[in-house]
Amino acid sequence: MMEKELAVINGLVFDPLNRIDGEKLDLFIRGGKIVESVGKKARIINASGKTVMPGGVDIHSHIAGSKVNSGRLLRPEDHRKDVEPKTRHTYSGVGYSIPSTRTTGYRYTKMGYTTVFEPATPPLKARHTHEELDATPIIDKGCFPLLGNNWFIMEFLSSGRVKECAAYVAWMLKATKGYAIKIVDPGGVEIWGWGKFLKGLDDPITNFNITPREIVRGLCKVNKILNLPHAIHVHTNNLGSPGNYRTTIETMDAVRDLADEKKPVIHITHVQFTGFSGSSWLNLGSGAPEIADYVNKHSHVSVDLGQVIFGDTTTMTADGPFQYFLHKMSGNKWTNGDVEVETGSGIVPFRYRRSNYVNAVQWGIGLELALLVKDPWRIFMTTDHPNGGPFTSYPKVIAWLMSKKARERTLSKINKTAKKRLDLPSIEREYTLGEISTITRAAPAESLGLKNKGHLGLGADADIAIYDIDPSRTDPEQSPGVLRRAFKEASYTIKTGKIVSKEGQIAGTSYGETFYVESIVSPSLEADLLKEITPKFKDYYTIEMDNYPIAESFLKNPSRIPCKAEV
Amino acid sequence: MSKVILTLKRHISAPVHLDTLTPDRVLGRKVTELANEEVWEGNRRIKIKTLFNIEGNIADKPDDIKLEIIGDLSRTRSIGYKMTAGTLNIRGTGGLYIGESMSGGNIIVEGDAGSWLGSNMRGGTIEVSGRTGDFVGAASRGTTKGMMGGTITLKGDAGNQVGAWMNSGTIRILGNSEMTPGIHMTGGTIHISGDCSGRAGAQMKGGKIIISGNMQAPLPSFSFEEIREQTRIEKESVRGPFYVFSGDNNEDGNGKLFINVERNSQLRWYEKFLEV
Repeated sequence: MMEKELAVINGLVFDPLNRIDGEKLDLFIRGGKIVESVGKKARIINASGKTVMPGGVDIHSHIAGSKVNSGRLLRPEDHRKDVEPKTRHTYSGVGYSIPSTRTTGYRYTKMGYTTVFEPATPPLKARHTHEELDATPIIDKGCFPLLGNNWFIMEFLSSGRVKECAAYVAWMLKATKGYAIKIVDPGGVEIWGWGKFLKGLDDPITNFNITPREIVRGLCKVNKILNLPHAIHVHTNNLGSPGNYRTTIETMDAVRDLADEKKPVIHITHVQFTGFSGSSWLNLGSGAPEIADYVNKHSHVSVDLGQVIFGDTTTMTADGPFQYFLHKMSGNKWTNGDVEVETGSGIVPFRYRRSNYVNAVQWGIGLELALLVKDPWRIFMTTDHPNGGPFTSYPKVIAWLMSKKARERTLSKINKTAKKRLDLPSIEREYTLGEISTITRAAPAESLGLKNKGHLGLGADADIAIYDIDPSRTDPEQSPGVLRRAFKEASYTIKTGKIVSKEGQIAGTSYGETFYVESIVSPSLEADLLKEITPKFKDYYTIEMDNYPIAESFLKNPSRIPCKAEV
Repeated sequence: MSKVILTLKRHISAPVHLDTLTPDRVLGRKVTELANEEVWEGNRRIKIKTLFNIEGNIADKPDDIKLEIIGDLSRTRSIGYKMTAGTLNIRGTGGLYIGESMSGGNIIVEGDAGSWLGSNMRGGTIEVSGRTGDFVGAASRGTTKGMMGGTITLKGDAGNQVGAWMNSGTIRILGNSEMTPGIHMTGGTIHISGDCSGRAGAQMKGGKIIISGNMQAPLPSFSFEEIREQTRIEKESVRGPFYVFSGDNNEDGNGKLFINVERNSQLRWYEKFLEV
């Protein structure tokens, strides 16, 4: 039950959006919102000597949908090794790298995270994604429909009909209850279906007179036309190939002329996986310095890490071609999916090893990027869960970012050649708690356009994490273990004014909102669009168009974010 | 040598996880401590003493400890999990996952045993006097490393997929086996003294399966090689004669399948290949 009024007093608050950096402040909560004051009967949480941050916001974590579920089916061993018994407030659950839905919600909550976005939803499978999101307790959530290999979009863009494409994307977001435009290996998944591999941004895509560059540019224009809250969210071509950092920079540069002064227009996701230099696996190196240099010089770009964690995980992506390659390379089991008209997917279990040269370089690339990109408002902490590692490893990443000593400890255990070739040992930077609060809360919330998330100002949602870290007593450099323990289990997690976790144990449960955007285009344009796509839909799909859209009533707790399109 | 006897005193209605019941894990503890240890019964935590009457004493060395568990334990799971030493004697029907991932010691089941007996086993011995379920010595679900060492002896019949993903060690079945023994196996030996329902060695890449009884036919993806008078399991000789097949060719495998000649007259037509 939600406390009527709550006060969090004497905490050291890190609220970057409101430029508060470790000040001792009191927070007052009523009706799930931050308010100016509360009455004398308010429940009081004494956060003296503790760190207070807004609830964590994860911009990119594969937690729900058909792909995740296929991973669960593929990996019974992943469930067996990690079992959560039921408690007074929780259901039981299983899964280490691909936890069951409820366990996902509980584990995020225990870490102080309150908002998570599923970043790869095949539109045709969006109904399943929402069913799983609805079964994920406590956290707020949303999903990004995959649009980078969609036949309709490629047809519209190849004929230069950006306005009509915008109307189609608006309809698609409404139909799937999606939040942002996700582009995975633009054109590459489609062309792989014809037995070919894309090599560059200007390769033509079989049967569609278009290139990956035109898809990215076209959808970036569409994003601007629709006034969507988040930038296009791009998984670039050539992921996982030596030398792919060039493709990443080319992709970012492809939309430079579309830059908007207000905010980034392109978000490159899990950039570690597309930050490889070198020309083969033997001379693979880190392309992080080059990517960071580009990001530092260009404000139209934001990135998230996709940090690798050593150990066992499950890789899963809509980038079917890459997963096929990974399966062939590793010999590990594999499952592949094709989603008619729209996209594909692949899943391969994988173990990142410290002793493996490539894996060790990958680990270094992620951290180098985080430490070399100067502006924490344009780089967000993720592991691309579960691709780089499970989200439960975030405390480790925080410790590496905040403590050079923690990095050196891991560096001493990794492949020696990799260590020599990385710049990481020479990087002195250590994140502050304020910067951690930025890359895990404020910046992703701002990037997603969530006005009431990621900060603790008046009117904000009362999503709060309290950690047992006293900056006056804890030197992060010397105490990475303290950081790891504190960020693993928040002292308190408060979700819309309700205490949902206490000392790492779930103390109450609820169901958060599902955010989706509705970009409103002119009725005549929408009518023309439907007239055009209805017969094509019948030709292309094996389901009826009437059965495709998801009604708002299908969602347990929908939160519609309207935006006015320019067409 | 010390002996601890646990006698079941009530019916088990929901699965009970007894993975802490091994000689090495009770080492250094008093019987009263063992009695108060909590285990899962379904979705509830219960004390072991609510299930068993416990008597005896615990020796100082794990090799000297013998645990004897008496009763219908068919609803238990994981007795002998990761056991490294000592003796565990189940007098009654055993449940699932007996001796899973064990690496040493001896388990004796005086009765039937459930499926997944000795799955992921690394060493030690297991002996079952009655019938055993499926997946003996197999890899647990989703993994690809089954039995890696040790010896399993089944005096009765066995279920399906004995030795699935087996890599090393020996499984002896004195009775009959159901379908697909040795599926995916890469090493080790399975000896079936009785009959096999079929598909022995499907997708095997290495190792040896000996069928002293009847099996209607080998899979078509196996090549006939020769007839041998006898073969060996470790240092022990097994008398034939045997038709020797190699496969599974679908996997570029080099496993060996020995099928008794006298009990399989339906395979006599293979002998014409020896004349060529």
